[in-house]
Amino acid sequence: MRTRRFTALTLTLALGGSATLLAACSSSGSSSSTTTPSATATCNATALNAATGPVTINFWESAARANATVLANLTNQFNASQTKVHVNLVVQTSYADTWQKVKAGLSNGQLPDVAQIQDTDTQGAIDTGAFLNEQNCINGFSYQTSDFLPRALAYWSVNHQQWAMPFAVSGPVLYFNQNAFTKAGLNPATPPATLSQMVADAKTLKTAGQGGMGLVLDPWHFETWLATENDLLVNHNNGRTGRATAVAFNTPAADQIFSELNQMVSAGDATTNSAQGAAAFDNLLGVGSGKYSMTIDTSAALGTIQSLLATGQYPNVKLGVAPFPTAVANATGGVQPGGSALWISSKSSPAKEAAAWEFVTFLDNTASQATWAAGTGYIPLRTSSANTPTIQKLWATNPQFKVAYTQLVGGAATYASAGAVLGSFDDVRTAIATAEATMFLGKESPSAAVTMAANSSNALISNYNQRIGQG
Amino acid sequence: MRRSLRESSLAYLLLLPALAIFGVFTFYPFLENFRLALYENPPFPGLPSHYVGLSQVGSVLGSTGFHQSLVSTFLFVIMVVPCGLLGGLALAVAAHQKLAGMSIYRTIFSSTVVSSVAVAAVVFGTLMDPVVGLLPWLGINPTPPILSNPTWALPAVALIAIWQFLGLSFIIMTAGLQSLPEEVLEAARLDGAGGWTMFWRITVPLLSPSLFFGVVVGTIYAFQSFGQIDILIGPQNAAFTHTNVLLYYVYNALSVQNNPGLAAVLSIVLFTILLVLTLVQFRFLERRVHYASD
Amino acid sequence: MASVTFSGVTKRFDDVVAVNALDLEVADGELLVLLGPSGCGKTTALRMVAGLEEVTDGDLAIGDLRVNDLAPKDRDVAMVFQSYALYPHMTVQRNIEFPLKRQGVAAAERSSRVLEAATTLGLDELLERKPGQLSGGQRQRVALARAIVRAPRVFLMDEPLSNLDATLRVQTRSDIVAIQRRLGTTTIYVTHDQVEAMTMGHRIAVMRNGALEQVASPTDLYDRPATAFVASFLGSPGMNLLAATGFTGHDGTPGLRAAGAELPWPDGFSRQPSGDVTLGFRPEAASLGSEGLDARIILVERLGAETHLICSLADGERVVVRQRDRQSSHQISDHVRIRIDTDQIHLFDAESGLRLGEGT
Ligand SMILES: Nc1ncnc2c1ncn2[C@@H]1O[C@H](COP(=O)(O)OP(=O)(O)OP(=O)(O)O)[C@@H](O)[C@H]1O
Ligand SMILES: [Mg+2]
Repeated sequence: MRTRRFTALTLTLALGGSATLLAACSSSGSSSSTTTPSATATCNATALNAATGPVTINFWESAARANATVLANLTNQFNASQTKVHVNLVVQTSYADTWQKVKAGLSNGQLPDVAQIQDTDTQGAIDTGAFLNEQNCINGFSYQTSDFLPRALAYWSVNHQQWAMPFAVSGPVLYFNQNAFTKAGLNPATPPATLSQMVADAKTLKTAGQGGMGLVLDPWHFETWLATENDLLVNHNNGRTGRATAVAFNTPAADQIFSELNQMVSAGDATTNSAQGAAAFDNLLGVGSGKYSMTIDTSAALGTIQSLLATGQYPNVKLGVAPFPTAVANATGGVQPGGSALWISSKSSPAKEAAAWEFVTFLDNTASQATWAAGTGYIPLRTSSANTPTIQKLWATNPQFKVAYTQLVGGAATYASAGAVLGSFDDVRTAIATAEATMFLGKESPSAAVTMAANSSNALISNYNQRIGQG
Repeated sequence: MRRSLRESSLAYLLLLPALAIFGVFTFYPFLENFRLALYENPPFPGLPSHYVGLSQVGSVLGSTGFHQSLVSTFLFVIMVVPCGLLGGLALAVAAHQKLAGMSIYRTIFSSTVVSSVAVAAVVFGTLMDPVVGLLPWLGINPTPPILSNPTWALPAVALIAIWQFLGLSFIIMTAGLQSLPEEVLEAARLDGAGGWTMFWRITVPLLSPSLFFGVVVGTIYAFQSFGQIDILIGPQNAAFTHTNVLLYYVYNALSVQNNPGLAAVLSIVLFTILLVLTLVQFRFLERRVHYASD
Repeated sequence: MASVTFSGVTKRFDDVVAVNALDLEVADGELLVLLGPSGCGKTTALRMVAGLEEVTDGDLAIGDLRVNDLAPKDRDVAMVFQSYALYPHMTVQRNIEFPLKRQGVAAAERSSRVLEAATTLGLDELLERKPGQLSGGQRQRVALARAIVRAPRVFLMDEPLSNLDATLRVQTRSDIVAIQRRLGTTTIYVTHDQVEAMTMGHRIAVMRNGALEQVASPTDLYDRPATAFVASFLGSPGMNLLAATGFTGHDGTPGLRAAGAELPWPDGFSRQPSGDVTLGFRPEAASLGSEGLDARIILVERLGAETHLICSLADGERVVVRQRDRQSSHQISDHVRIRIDTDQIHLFDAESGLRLGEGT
């Protein structure tokens, strides 16, 4: 019995000890020196021309499977097209992995020269001090951006500085089953254009014995609804004219959005699923298989759904794609984009920075964007790309691919439709998702849930700002 | 008798390697932890940390996140320990029957000990999946789905922990049952005890050393589980704040938030809770334990 | 109170026959001692009465009731285990009270009966203690108290004293006898200590290999052992046994030849003129003299009041001689002659080991 007592006590101490050990082990590097963003950095052709021999740079990409193949082909094409720059493609397979490795690289020095980083980490990438403000390159190379879709550029523009060039950009769209619409007496040619129409259609569909709405718990959609009615998510113009210090969404407009979603869920007209984990695509699969009649998700998923349906497994599903239903009729804002941009490290040499810029502008040129968009379903980011035969042919045969593009070039270009920039964006999204989930459980009213989301978000934002030394 | 100086210095010399290892891997990190708790860290490595003294301890202890974490932790422990122990006891009693083929059941029941948390999490995650899962098929299909539902997610991950703990609990209880003094049970039978009286008045008290050991081990096990939470919930989940148990909070503070200061404060809290709990267990619970030795 | 009757009771564990066709009747109010070497089936026989082992074959009755299929708790028997088997988590009070509670005895009656049983065994000061805080002797008394408090029809005791030291054993032995005589409860008492058996039992049943050898009062058992086994098992040391052959002398008188010596055929045993027999005599029936069996002393055991001389006969057989004389002058290696008191000779059939019948 003694031994048992001893074992138990030892276990306790060991566990307590190992937790503290865990904490203590990771402290290294937290006090190493810091580099301020290179506001005065130069990024121009001279640096590259001065280099003797080809400049080799590393590119950490975040695409997987088919998309990764397209990107690899583009990279090979770039390497073959010139002799000054050689790009090593490093496949990190997901945004989370790339970002995690970038953070690790901040202490161990293993940083890429170019990285594909997702939208929610924009403020974080700026705050690391490890990335170049690409506005310097635009200026240094006298790069022309007028051909780009303005709202794609605006998404990565902070304080009027183009911190990163957009690359893989998509938007949320409505997927629906035209057959179900027809069976429920709805016209598949006029899918819901507003949130309240969507709620009403979900009810009609459900009442008619069709599948309802598959609602993924993704706060990106909430942000987009705010953007469509020209409402900000956070203060200081969505963080674009100054660091965001608090949320701006604790408003009746947000209450209304929450309330309509809640109405749909509590009536049983919508089934929810988590935006991450194993169930992340249940809403899409549900539409593809005819279980649900509608869902909202990224336009980047279109290719996958079309190929699922091409197998002929679900003959009673006829896919329809429509623009994101706006929060209100006569929306004054626009649908915000989503996706990732190409960031250049400020920790490497001027030659590598210039080489990186060469590569970034290659991926963003007319032909590359056309290839990329056609191969992946992302939005072509240049007007000229959209006008290439590749894209025109694609859109002519498969007009569903054009929906997200049309949506992004339409609408008003405002700080609201540019989306928000803030630190700990992922955690804020989680807080919003938690509030939505709590509301769906019937534990909070819509407006109380919005307040709850706002309070947790504010705490997260101010904690982040404090830790960054801006609190 | 007094030991010569030589003798004792030899003893210390021989102890030195052990002390050194202990010092480097246990005492130093332990103390370092207290220092770390006084610094506020930036969200990214490479940026300066600031000395903030005890104010960080205060703000962590006062934060909603910490309070929620405490609540989740205790709910989790309260679900896992009794269910795991009683479940293990029930299985052990069932497998204690002298029937042919019982050893197969014993192997099955104890097998969760060697199952990996990752596999368990994936299997249970599939069972709970709103589209293909067994639980929704059985009609348990809340909105939002179990694993992103602020109410259901914690019981769901607790269920996995219970399932995993069952094996160890079964082994502890089986060992306990097998070492029960046969004659005491027979005496009770002759004295007229049967069925429930036998179980609750005799068997359970006689098993109290095993039950107590199970409580201590189970509590520690419950406090240290977070694998299934990391795999099935994760920091981006709507149910995250309701499943953010202390050890996961520590892990998350370190690996995701780059916040050793927060992790240090939390791990000191965790350490203190475990220490106090274990002392309480030994001080109060053990009084009710009857070691049927000698 | 009740009698206990074994009629052809057999207990088999797989291929081991632990008790073999046992026929035995324990009379109402009797204290019967089950005696025998280790592994002979005493405990098994006792546990069958308690209902802790199923009877494989035969009938077991308590009183007039066949109990083969009766649950232990319905047999109204109390058992005292060698290990005491106290409930470690209960106080002495609760231990003694436990069977009464199970019987649904009212609280007031319970406490008076517990107090009475405790007082009988001198435990009244210890009622609030747990078994872990008691000495071995005290635990043993609690076990007894828990048995007597029920006033059962039968007491079963399995070597209850074997864990006690010699002094305590002697005292508790007489306590148990006193209680048993006072309560008059039918008791089966298992032991392999023959002093216990001789001093406690009304009758002793000697078992061997699962079967009954003999059941008789202690004196009968000692004076007229029914088999050579009982003869050698009882007594300390046991009876000397020598191989012997009967013969008829020239004058027609029967005689016995053993260890190279000739003896007259003892009275009271039917003659077995040419057959082989086993000759038995107790150590106190032998003495050293000028005539008798040739022997050499190989060991001298001085016990204080008496001396045991262990001798080796010419053919290597061993014989023990008990001398009342504490100052025995004999030494190891001395050559002596052993004289046997012919009135105290026992004869057994060499084959069956059975005592030869009475007769001429
Ligand atoms: N549960 C059992 N399974 C198999 N064999 C058993 C079992 N219990 C007893 N036996 C066997 O039955 C025989 C009688 O055993 P029992 O315990 O009755 O002997 P005993 O006379 O009480 O001996 P002791 O004086 O050593 O206690 C032995 O050979 C023993 O090995
Ligand atoms: Mg025995």
